Amino acid sequence: MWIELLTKVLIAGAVLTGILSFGGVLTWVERKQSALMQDRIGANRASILGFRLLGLFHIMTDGIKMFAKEEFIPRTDHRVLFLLAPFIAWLFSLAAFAVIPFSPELTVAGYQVTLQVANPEIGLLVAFAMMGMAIYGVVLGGWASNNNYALLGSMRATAQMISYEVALAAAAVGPLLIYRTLNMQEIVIRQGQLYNGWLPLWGIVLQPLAFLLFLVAGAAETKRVPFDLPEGESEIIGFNLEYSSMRFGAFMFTDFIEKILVACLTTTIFLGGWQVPWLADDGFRLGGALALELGPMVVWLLRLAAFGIKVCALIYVLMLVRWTLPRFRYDQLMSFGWKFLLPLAFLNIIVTAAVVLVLNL
Amino acid sequence: MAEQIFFYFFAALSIVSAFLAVTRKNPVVSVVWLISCMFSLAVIYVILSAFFLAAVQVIVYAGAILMLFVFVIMMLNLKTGMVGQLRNLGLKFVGLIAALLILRQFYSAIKGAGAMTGLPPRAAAGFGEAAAVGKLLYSQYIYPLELMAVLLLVAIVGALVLAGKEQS
Amino acid sequence: MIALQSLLTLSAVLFVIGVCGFITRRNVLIMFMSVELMLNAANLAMLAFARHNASMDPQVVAMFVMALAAAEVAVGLAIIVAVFRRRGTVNIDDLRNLKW
Repeated sequence: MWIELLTKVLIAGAVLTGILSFGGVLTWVERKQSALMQDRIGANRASILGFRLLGLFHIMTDGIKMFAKEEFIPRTDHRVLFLLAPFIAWLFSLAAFAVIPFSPELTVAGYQVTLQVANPEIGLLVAFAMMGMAIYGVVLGGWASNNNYALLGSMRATAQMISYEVALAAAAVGPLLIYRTLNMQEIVIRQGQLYNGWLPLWGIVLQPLAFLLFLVAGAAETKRVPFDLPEGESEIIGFNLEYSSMRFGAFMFTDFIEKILVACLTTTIFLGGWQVPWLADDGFRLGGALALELGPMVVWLLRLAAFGIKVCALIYVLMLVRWTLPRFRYDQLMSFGWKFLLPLAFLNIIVTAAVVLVLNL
Repeated sequence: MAEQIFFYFFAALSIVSAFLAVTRKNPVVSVVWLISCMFSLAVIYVILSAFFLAAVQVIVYAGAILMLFVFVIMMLNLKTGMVGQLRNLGLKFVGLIAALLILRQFYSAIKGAGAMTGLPPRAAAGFGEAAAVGKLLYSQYIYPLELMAVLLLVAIVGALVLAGKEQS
Repeated sequence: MIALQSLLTLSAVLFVIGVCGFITRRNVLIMFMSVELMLNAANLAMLAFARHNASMDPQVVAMFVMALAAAEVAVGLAIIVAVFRRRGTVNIDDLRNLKW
């Protein structure tokens, strides 16, 4: 029992460390990518002993800056809520990673090891529940700031995030009807089949519309451009107006964490999770004589890497979108969510359900 | 053992949160405590192996219903003066008496049920999972389910009519 | 081992807190929250019996209660918003005009 507990703690620690450092790297990637697209050089000033390393030290300096800045706390009746709010958002976004299956199971010395903290039957619902709870951080933060602009910003944020959460969940129903399970590991395993022996039957192949809807709703859920009205750093003031220092940093970092979360969920549901095309448990099977035998450890590592690559690719796509599109107007945002995304998601559910019923999948 | 520790911890947390939720002056603070109460109840649901219901509790109750409360309270933007007014001693007295009477009833009902009975040590496989709930919902309870769908639709239309833009 | 009785006691205590809040508070919003608390207490008892009797039916009923609560909150809060727009108050004592 103690060994199991210890492995769980170790896995949780590994996932946490991985996500947090990946989030840190993303802040740098984001800056470099924006610079690339706007024909600038981007962050490259920070250096240690003359080494600049493409500006990678900016991650560190940003962190130090965040911690070292003066923290201003406005006069408010709800100081505790004000202080707590960024960490509510932060904590619940991180908690959702508990159910993400980063890798398949591997038997090491008689123990089942998975890079997945918990594998409940209702895995996907847990992720959605945690995402829903993370909204409270934004809402309460804006409200406790005792500032009308922050309050308006947090109301925009609430309305947007609730609206798009509905669309997000509705978009996920289509693939779930096909997989017939909510268990995250099982969802990935169901995507391991091949159509006609060559086309991997991933969610994106079976449910292309749902994939697009999920990605768009996910981008809105993470408050990215073109859906960044809750924040609108420079033009329309957002819920984080009164926050400074590390608490502002926590809000900003939560955004990056949520972006990783949406990418992880999309990968799991639509891009086959840790599945590598044509890779079976004992090596590549390309049909006929083409085969490559691989040991279980190599296969496991390949699959873990596949998950990482898919997540990175998705985040890159989201980043391209962020620096390409202009921002929505608020009424456009709302009608886009409720009158376009949601009906399409419902249509997708109905059609998928009918097809599943008729073909008896 | 761990089950028991979790149960008693979250039971205590839910009672404390519920108490604070109904006594706080500011409705937003009340909602925050109510969220904490619902969340602890969700944990207790997990202990009762009602996994699907626990997820629904967090998504629907803590995530949606209480969010609606927060949203409406923010929209009304109540001033502190408008919220207070908890000075009615007679009413408090009535509340206390009512509470004691109901508690007395519950006590005799629970006590009258006989000796302490523990829950069965282990639930059957699949008990409380989404599949089990879904199968019942869509077979035995199909008519209530359809009625519930109609009710929700009526509620949406009703809410829009009541709180939508004022005519004229 | 958790006794059925302790679960029922928890449910009863939560219910009574809800009743107490409903009677003593004059803010419509908090009265409404007390109702939600009572519904939750009932749900808890339902799920305790589900586990005790190894029967899934109470869980389905609890599910219906949650759906009902969602519908109720949508309409109820809409009414509160409409009343607030007209009268500028959420204090139940100021909303007595229905009496005459």
